[in-house]
Amino acid sequence: MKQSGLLIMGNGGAAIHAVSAARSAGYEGEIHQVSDMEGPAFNPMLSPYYLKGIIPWERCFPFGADFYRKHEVNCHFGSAVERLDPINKETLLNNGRKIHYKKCLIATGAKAMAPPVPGLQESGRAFTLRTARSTKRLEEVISTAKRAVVLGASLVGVKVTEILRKRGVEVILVDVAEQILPRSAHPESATLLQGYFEKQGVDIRLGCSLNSIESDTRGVRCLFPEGIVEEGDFVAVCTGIRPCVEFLNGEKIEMDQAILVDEKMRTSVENLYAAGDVCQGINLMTGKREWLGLWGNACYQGRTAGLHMAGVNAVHQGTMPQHVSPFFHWTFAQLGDVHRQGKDVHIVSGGHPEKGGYHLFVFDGEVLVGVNLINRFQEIGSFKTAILRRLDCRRLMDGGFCSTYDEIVERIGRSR
Amino acid sequence: MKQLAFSFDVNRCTGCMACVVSCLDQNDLPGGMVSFRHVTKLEQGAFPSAKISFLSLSCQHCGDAPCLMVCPTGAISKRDEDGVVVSNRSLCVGCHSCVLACPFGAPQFEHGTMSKCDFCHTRMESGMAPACVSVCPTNALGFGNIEELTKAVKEKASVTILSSLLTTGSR
Amino acid sequence: MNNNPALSPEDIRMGKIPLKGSGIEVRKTICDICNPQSHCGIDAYVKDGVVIKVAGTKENPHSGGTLCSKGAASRQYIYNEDRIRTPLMRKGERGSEDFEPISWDQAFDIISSRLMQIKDETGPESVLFYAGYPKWMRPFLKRLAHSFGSPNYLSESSCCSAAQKLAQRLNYGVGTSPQPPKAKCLMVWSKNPFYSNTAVARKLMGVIEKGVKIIEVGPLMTPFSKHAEVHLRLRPGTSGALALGMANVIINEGLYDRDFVEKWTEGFDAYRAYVMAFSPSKAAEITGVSADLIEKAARLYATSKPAGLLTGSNPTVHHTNGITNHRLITALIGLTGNFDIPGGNYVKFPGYLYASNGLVTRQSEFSQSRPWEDMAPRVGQDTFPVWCKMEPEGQSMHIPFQIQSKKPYPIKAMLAFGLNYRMWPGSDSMRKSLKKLDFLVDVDLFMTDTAKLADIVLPACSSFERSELKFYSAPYVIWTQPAIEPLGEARSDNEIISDLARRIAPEDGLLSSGHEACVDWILEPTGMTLSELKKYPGGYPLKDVPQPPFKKYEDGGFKTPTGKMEFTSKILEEFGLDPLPRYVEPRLSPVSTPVIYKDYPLILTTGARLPMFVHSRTFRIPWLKGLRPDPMVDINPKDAKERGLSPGDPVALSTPRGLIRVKANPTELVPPGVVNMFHAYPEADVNTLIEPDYLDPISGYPGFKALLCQVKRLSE
Repeated sequence: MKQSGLLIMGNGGAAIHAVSAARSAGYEGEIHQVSDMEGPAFNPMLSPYYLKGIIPWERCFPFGADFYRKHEVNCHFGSAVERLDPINKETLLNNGRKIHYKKCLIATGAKAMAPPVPGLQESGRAFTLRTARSTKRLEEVISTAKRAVVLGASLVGVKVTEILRKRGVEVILVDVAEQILPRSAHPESATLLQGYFEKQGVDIRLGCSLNSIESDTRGVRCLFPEGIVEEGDFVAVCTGIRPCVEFLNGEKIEMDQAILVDEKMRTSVENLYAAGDVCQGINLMTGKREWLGLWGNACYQGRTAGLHMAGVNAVHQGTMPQHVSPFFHWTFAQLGDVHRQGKDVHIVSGGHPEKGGYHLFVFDGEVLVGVNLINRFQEIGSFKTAILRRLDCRRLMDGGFCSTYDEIVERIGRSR
Repeated sequence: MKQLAFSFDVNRCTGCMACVVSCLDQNDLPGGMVSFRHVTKLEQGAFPSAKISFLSLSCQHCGDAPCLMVCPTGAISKRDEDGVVVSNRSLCVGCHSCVLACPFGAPQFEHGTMSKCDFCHTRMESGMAPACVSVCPTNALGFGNIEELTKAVKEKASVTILSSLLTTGSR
Repeated sequence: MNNNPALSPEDIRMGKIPLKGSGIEVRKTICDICNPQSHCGIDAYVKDGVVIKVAGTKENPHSGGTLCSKGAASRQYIYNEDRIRTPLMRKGERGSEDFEPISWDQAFDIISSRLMQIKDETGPESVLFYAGYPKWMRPFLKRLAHSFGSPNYLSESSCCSAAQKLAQRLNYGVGTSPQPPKAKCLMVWSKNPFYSNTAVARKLMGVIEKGVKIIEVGPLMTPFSKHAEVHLRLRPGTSGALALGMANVIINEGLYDRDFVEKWTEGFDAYRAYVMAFSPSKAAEITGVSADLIEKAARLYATSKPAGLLTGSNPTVHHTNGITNHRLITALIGLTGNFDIPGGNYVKFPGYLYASNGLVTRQSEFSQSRPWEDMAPRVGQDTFPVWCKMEPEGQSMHIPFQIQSKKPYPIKAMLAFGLNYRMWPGSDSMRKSLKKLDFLVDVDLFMTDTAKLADIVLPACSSFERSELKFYSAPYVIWTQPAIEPLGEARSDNEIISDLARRIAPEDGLLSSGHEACVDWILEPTGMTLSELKKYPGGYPLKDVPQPPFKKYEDGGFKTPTGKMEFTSKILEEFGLDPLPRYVEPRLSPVSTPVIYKDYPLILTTGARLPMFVHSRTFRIPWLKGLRPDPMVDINPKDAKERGLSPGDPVALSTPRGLIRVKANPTELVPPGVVNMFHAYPEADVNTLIEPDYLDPISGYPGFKALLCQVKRLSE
């Protein structure tokens, strides 16, 4: 059995950066890349911009088709991995092919997940937004739609909602939580954003779960509690993702919500690495390994894994929860943990998105732990530093407390 | 590879903001919230032993630029010849990932797309210094190849920013 | 600059590089947004007749290629939408801003016929000729006034640096300037050239880094503060007491120049006796500066050989006790033997338009086209006789009083260049007075709030659009060339003056023959001609210009009545005033007005420089206003905390006279007990909080820098 070189499973940000890093570190052996999608690498972050008509389709593939030839990659696209055998260091693809490896990187990402609502799994009118294929499918259904239900007021859900509103489609946005953007937004920010979205014509239903769904070729009937029924051309499912690890088939690899890795992207199995949305690295705020799906972090992880696989000692310390997205004419950002609870937790908020920007700071004791900003980003880099370095920045020099944006910025400046 | 960097002497900076305005003039920016260079005032201590210093910051053209890594469209790239980090506005979709990644607040958004300090690389190619460096009344701002600057820093008081330049990266 | 074929035309255009084929030409001019001590050289990048970028002129030895934020914003200054494009005539009520465009000929006809009519009815003295900023047309305007027959040439010098020079002249007969590069120690007394005179910032920073010891005196923190050996943060208005405390140490410890004092001074005994009452602890009590800091500063200044004293243009004389304070401060120069020596305070020859480089011109002769005795007394002559004796102009602070009183004669008209009514204390009262004039002409670049009160408004050129003669101390001379065409129908101030001269003072052939002829006349003693200077549009470095020798007093004495340095002033004595500079409290202070202090427990100082603004001129520039968008009062964090103030909170800043609404800016810039407010804001004019007669009795200068106030949070 021939020992081949590096095997990269996946074709997203982590995978691409791993390949690029291995080659620039001087690795000259074979690199095999396997993906169930046809190439080239797609960036799911860009699909909303495509659907909004801001970029043409080709621009959703930012690394280009030439990447693989330039980096001398043996591509096995359109074939999924059926089984991974880390003991014998080989994989079996669904077309019967076996690939051996010296080191393997699992960078298969995550996929959209539908909640266990009766009728949803088998519905032909349920759409997600994650891959190139699902983007095209969604585009097609939007083009003739008049009305849709979006399940999940998550970041993806809100983006889909914006796309639909821009195309003049009536939208009902539904979430079981009592606020939109339940992870990223503090309830106060969420209320502001909700009001803004409602002004854009979005019908928002919170604390609302979908009981069941009936579908036919033309549309859906969504059955909500208390006998409420909403009809639409389709339902968009934006209720979360799960890591793509079916090929593991019960192999012993340490997992939590996703595959656990150390700062060198190593899994619990020798010669097996993981990077990107399929894995779970350190949250620098808590020191614990948490599942944070961020494009930038995936790229750094992929790079670190690639360097390591090429024999270079590289580390990626971790990341922290963070997000920024434009929604209609506002841009919303989140840093850290805006849902911290406890007796020492204090909120400082103020401003307005259309008058210089809105801010919300969450302090736990003297330390900044979470931030929401709308339309005001000049100092966001220093807020991130303040969170990561646990700077004392709530208390003013003379013992009083910071109560304004400017006071907090100045206080952070003094602490550095 | 040559890597250009700004040097900044906090003992010389008077907070006059000529650098900020000279850059606005060079790049025809609106000013106000959109500005490639910012001057922040830092106050330490209290009367009678208070100290007031100023910090002039623009894009630092980081060795391992976080904005470059996180940009989903490849709009941000690093020039081989001088390490200047440049952004291509026609490739930018306005996702704001760069502003989240940058520790220095360098990316600016005007009409939805990102632009920022480009080290006046067009001027440099004609043998001129960046606009901000040229105008600085006290020579607090300088520039050069980072190796030479690092040597000079050992002789003079300077800001810790330089040391983070080369290692700024994954967060 | 190298020709780089790798640059595309688009690149060049985007980088604004003035290469061959780019269509961009670099034209040399100067910036005149702020004062003549700066006037940085500017390289204007011009394409298709439009300035697309500015940079500093590297070869200008004064500014060396630097610009401040204001000069860097030149494009938004010269192309500002507020620029007046044509002469305008008032249609509606005064102040209604209802104007109609007229031609220059019409404007001149109206102006000359009105002024000649008023001259006929109430005498030429009832017409005032006023110069605000910029200053370049002053000798010409003064000549126009006197050739017309009016003694009343007045200017903004009535509250600018002339008083500090006057105080020195009472002591020494002349003004002085320090020589920082040659000094071992520099005592900086209320001066921040990093914001007020950026052209010298580079050289000054070089001097600091070479190791000159800095003694800083002033309540506010400045960029000097972190370089200073000692910073004496005195209570505003108490400079005189501080100087006396220092003199006490210097004399008691025998650190004064006995030789100089014995041979070259008058009144030392009276001075010394008075100084004895100001022990360091007494001075500490008055000024709030600790006795050992006073001792340290005094010893350092007196024992550093040589030492220079660098004072601000105005802060020490913007007080109701200003002249006395400044006499006491500058007396320290002579006391320590630092007068007119290398590295000390040097006496220069008078130059041209406030800049001296060794060349002697006929500026004074040119402008004094008629002797004083042939004209009526000036405005302010009775109230400020010392000012009028020492300065060849009227005292502008007296204008509103004379407009109201009509004594000794009425004021009917004013021909003004760059007038800003908010410059006056009690500026609302000055505005009312201006409205009472029969005829007001204002020449300006912009439609200012003052121009809105005029009957005729005339559009002036910016420095980019005209020529002027500029002297630098470097030594360097420029006859600038226009970088662009005048905007609209704007004209050069001096061309306007010559045009008017032809109509209202036709016997003055020189003035009527135009600006260039006058400049050649003024330059005659130097041997330079305009035709020669025109060959050097970027400027001409003067070579081998003999500089005045040091210790000029050894040859012929001091230019004072006694021929010596006067600790006690003969001139003041002649006018029935106390010859000895006795320290008095500011008219409003915790000590002189304790009852008022109870309700207004903060000392208010106004007018300290901000780097992005100069008086009222740059608020309209978006790049600059954006750097500090709101009028803010600087207040120490302790005082802010007591009042429950956070940064940006709306507050009322009030004095017994009035109230303005601004935002709070807690900062260590000011010490506890003192607040600082920038002036000239149309929306928050701090000069409305000052009484019109809050003036120094000798100079007539307003006490801008020591007042009492309160700051209270406003509920929104």
